[in-house]
Amino acid sequence: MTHNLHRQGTRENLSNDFTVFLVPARGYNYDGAGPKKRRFWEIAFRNNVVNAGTNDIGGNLITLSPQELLNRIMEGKNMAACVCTSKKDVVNILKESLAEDFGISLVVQGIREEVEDCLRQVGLKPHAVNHSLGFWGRTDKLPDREVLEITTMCGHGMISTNLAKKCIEDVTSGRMTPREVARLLARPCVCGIFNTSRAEALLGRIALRAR
Amino acid sequence: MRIDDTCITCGVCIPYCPVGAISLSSEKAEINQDECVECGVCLRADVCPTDSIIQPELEWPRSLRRAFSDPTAPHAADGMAGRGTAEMKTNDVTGRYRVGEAGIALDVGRPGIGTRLRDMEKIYKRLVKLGVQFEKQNPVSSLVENDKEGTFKEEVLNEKVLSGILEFKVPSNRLKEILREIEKCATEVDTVFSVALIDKVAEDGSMPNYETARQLGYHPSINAKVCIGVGRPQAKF
Repeated sequence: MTHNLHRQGTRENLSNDFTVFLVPARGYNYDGAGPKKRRFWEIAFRNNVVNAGTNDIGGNLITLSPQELLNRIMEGKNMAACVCTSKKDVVNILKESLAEDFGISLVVQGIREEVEDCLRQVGLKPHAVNHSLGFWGRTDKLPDREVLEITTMCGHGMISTNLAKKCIEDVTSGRMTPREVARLLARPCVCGIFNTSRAEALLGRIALRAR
Repeated sequence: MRIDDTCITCGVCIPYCPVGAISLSSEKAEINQDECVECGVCLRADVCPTDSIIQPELEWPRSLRRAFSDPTAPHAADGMAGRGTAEMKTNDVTGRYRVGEAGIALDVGRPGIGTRLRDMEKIYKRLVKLGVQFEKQNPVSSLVENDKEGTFKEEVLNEKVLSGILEFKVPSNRLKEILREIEKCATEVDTVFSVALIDKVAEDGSMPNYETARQLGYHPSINAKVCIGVGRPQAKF
């Protein structure tokens, strides 16, 4: 999920986009990680997350109910992810997770200064930071910024440029609402890190401009 | 991926393909087998009204396409679903990156373009010549034929995948040299790659690799991924 940090956008439209991960480390703390991932998601579900998932359970919070997600959690490998749209929710999830003392790595993706502020509020500092230096090589092959802002919300690249373009057309023509399209776009992202709320806002803005 | 003869040419699956490999003929939708990366998105989208999309058993080396492109499929190399290690996400436990080291992850083919493994080899070879040691637990290591030359197995070179991650770390004092070499790679490949730079945050809160990158004229994104350091057992730094 390295690509998760390469989400494209402006300071304004990334400011409500946070992903929180609970990540077991192979060879260190896989054993007993299943129940901890379950508890992490239970915390997430009561803190307004708009999506959640992991790549080994065949669905995300858009395609499955919270209970179905909890029932499918597997022991050990792979992380549990959730998407927040406010710092307040991130802070609450961190506070509750720290109280549970999972002993498993926690990772937060978002605007760095905002993430650091969340950490200050729970009495922590960053341990390690992964920075994006952008896209190199044949960048002439990439779609325009509006499409990238949507497609890069899936860390594994499961949301195609063509699907994003079709969805933009469906919204601008009035065939579908931004909310309907945001949920459709979220389906291929099996890890559940696609931010449907942000997508809805981005698409709503595109629709307004088209009118 | 394949589409069988029950297809009714509705075309609803076409936009879901991340690499645009599906097209309509007069009789049915077809998947360009040379371009298909076996990611399974068309099947998992569950939009085909006649269940005509099928996932055949894949033989080596085509099986690499699925291993690198489908996040629900485990790699034969390491049994993990996904395309790389947990890199810095579990650094509090693994101690993989330390102050004085720069972690780098090149996600070749991403976002959304895909790559032939030939292009990944080009980058790999250039960096091997500089003495870069790649992450052994990354599935790319299973493609390498000759460690010293950085050559991949001949039969894998034309395989197309959605992306593959080249992961390594170098002493921070070599960061400039390495980034400049990666710039040369960028002019030689027929795809894009995402560049990630990892800092173990120092006791005083500084991030030397981030500062070096900025001084060299690179523009780190405002968003980042932050490991908050609560995993156990804690690595010794």
